[in-house]
Amino acid sequence: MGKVSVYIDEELWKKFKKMIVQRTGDTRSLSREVQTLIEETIVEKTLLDAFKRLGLNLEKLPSFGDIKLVVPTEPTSSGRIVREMRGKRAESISG
Amino acid sequence: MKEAGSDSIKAVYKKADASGVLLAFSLWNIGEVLGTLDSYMKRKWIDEDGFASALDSFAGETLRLAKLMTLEVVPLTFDLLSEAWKVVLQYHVYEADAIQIASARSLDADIFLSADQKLLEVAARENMHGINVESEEEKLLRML
Repeated sequence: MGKVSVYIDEELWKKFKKMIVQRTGDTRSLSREVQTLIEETIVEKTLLDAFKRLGLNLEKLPSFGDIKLVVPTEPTSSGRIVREMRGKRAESISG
Repeated sequence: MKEAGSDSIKAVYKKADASGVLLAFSLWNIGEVLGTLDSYMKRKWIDEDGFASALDSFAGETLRLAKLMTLEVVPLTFDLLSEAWKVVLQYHVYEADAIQIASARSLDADIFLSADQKLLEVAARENMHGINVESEEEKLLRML
């Protein structure tokens, strides 16, 4: 953990601090909140944590040659399945 | 998954693996990958082992290429979603489709890959070079 200095619009920073105090009761978690925002932008660490929460096996990341394609029992198109899923969602929204 | 368009996608990933292209997809798409694999398993097109293998491979490959910085997972920020809302209103598409367009636009992507012709038409109206990974495989392979 290191200390860094950045320039941020003062009004924006005041609002952010106020929001954190409202949420947590003090300013002690300010650094953690900023770090979370950065992690969500870089995504990599957040994604690793999210995949681990899904119980995926990530002990060794596969090289390109390690990937074995799974062959379905029927000819499939994930494009068609995604279209179906998006279509269902749109139908459920429009009632 | 060995299926329509998988040879195209494999070629794109191979190119990214050699740092020849920068791949990107939206954080949103990860949920759709999970949903698609779940749908395959429910329909008994793949078994539990196939499901687990495909999911581990997808997650592992995503993390590895992200570490190599040849894959960017575009986060769902307020800015991106508000750009997607504009796309929803402009092209009358569902938000998930609009997120694809807004994500590609945010990166100024050279090529927009999809298997969805309707989405590719929207991309074309946004002056993006769209390629259908299922029906335009040869064209894509020539470009790589």
